[in-house]
Amino acid sequence: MIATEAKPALLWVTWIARVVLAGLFLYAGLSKLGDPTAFAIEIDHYELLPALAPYLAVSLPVIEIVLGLALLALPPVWRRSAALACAGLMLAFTYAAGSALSRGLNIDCGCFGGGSGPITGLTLVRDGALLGACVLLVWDPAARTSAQPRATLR
Amino acid sequence: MKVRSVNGNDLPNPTVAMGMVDLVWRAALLVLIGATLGAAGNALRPAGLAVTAFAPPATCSASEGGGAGPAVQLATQAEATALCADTGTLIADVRPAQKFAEGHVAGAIHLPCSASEQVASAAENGLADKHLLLVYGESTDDAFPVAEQMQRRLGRADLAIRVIEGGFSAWSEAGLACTSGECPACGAPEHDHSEHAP
Repeated sequence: MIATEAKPALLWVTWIARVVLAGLFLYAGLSKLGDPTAFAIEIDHYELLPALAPYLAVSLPVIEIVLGLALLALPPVWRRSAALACAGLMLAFTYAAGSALSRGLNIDCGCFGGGSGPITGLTLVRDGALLGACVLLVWDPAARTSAQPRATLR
Repeated sequence: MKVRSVNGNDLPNPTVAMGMVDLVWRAALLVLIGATLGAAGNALRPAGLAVTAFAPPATCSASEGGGAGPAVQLATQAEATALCADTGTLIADVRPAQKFAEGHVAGAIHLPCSASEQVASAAENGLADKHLLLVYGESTDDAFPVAEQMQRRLGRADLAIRVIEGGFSAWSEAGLACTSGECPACGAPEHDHSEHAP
């Protein structure tokens, strides 16, 4: 049954997750937007889909910005859709990082443009946490009931 | 909400299934909008990426494993000074273009990590009659990826590849430069510092 009442604490958690996720996607997209060639090289270093590297380099940053804006500003059903797309992206990112790590590739993550730092176990933990936030927002009871968190602390 | 059939088995909730389909197509639409805007924006930018002509760098790779040639070794600053005067040596500068233009070892080729296949092939041709490739960067670490990739790419047993310890800045600060100067391609005259060599 679709929830009609969500606990205020849960509303706050999902609201914070939404703002943080949107902020990160906006930052990630904007930081990669300026230099698509450098981003294409970063993607190529993963040695997964070399033929798609230039296409991903020009499209992924704007997709991230669109999803970030959708999470922040669009109506609830679109927010949940954006979260679903974010979950798909995070799954792909986590797979790529895990694959590079398992093959011993010492490459820059490229997650937030140049100088993002190398891929480590922490990259996987971060991606996993973001994937969890995406799943939470797809399920988001606040979006399904259009409820908004209200200040209930006294 | 679980829906039960007349025989008591659980059936998928049609409302939830329809909701997911709705979410999926809206998610796909958002991704499509982003991809279209990205492609359009790139096409309109003067400095946009040439998507169909994109060639990944050929001088710097994360691949593991060495080539057939001898392993890349460090050259101390004093060794580098002696080696760079050898006519059988080709010197490669891996630093960014701006640093290269500000000053580099005379005769050095520019072979950054992001060099194209064309530049890497030209370097390969330039090495045909050489027995040593001397690579330097801003420091030791940034020269190694290029040196190791060239070692894998060339796989020549008769070619030694060495990295200058400390990089260009440490080398020239120590007054051990062989010949260094302005970028010839920038129109400035070559400035010889060979008199600083011991």
